[in-house]
Amino acid sequence: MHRQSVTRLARPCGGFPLVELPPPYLAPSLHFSLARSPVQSSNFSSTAAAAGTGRDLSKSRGVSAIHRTGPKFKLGVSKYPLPKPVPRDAVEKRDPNPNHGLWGFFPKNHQPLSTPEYDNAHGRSWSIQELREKSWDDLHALWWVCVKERNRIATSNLERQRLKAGYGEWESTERERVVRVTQNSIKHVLRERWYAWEDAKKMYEKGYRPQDEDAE
Amino acid sequence: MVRQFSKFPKKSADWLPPSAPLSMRKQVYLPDFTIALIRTPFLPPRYASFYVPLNFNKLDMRDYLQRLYNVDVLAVRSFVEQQNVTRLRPLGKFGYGKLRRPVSKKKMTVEMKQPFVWPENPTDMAPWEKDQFFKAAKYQSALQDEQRPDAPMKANKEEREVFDDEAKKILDGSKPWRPTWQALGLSYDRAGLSAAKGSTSARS
Repeated sequence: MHRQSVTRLARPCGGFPLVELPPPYLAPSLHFSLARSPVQSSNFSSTAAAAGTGRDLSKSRGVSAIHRTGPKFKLGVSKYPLPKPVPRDAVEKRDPNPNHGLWGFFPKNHQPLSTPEYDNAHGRSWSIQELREKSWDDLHALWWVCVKERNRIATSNLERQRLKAGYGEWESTERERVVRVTQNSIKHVLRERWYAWEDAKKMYEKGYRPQDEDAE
Repeated sequence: MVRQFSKFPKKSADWLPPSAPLSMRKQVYLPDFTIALIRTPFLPPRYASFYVPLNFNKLDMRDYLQRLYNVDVLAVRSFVEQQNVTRLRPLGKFGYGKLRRPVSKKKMTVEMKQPFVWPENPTDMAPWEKDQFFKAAKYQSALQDEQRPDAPMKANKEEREVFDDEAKKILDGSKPWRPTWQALGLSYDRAGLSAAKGSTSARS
């Protein structure tokens, strides 16, 4: 633009008034080459240069989903190798984490379901007399052990039914029965303690003081 | 007088925010339910699925797994599986009996921090005596079918097949036909019998 305006300024004077311009070492941009094309180089439009090429700047011009033209340019996918599908059996196994918490749902040997032999190898349930001597913390811990064992048995039962493995239902039922007897015994002992505490409270409200009895 | 309306009921007096300390909240000390892990080979290894009681919620699930199994849970999804309507079969026959829907089952899928891979299926079914189990079941059902009131109306399939095979052999010519008494090896060459035969022949 600047160049054109300078040309326009220079034209009425005729030729190139190099003398009137500052010397080239001061303003080299004002000095033009002598081999100038005679074609008029300015255009009348003041819009951007690309607009004059006959196309607008829309990249999706002429791309139609109805006419199935496809994109005008290559899509980037072809640059990268496509992943090949692998059958499920060929997928390499992930290494099992032996310390994962969900192993609590499985027997100790980390098999998906317990054998009847494993289920049958249990002792008797805790007796009420044994549990009476235990503290609340012990009883509570034992209860949660029972809960975990029942979850384990339920998981094994599901798996046995799914696999149609065969025998083992009776053994697992027996094992669970023993666990539930223990749980019922725990509740029985706690109930006894509750009643004892209630009775003691009533006696205290009536005025009974055990230390008085000891003094007598 | 200012009347206050609220769409929502007021919180009860013993309401506690979830940020309240554990000792102030209502805790479950002796839970009496079981949850079962489900085999899900189609899920990514960081997901695990469980059958849980119907009154279980997602927060319960997260807390339960964290405290009892020390499994860090990131997210829980929950579904209630409605069971199909089935029929009671009072006489072991199809077609009549009460329609009823079994109790729904609740399933929860948890996303865990650590991946867990299910153990492989056992290849040897000898500890469960699979073959013997199904043989016995088949024998039992056959025995029960024999005891049913409509048992005499049913054809004896084994007998039929044996007859069929024998008839085919005779038609092929691989086995010559013989009368039953010959096939059984019975001997009618007795003196009295032959005499009787002779007399009949003489008479005729």
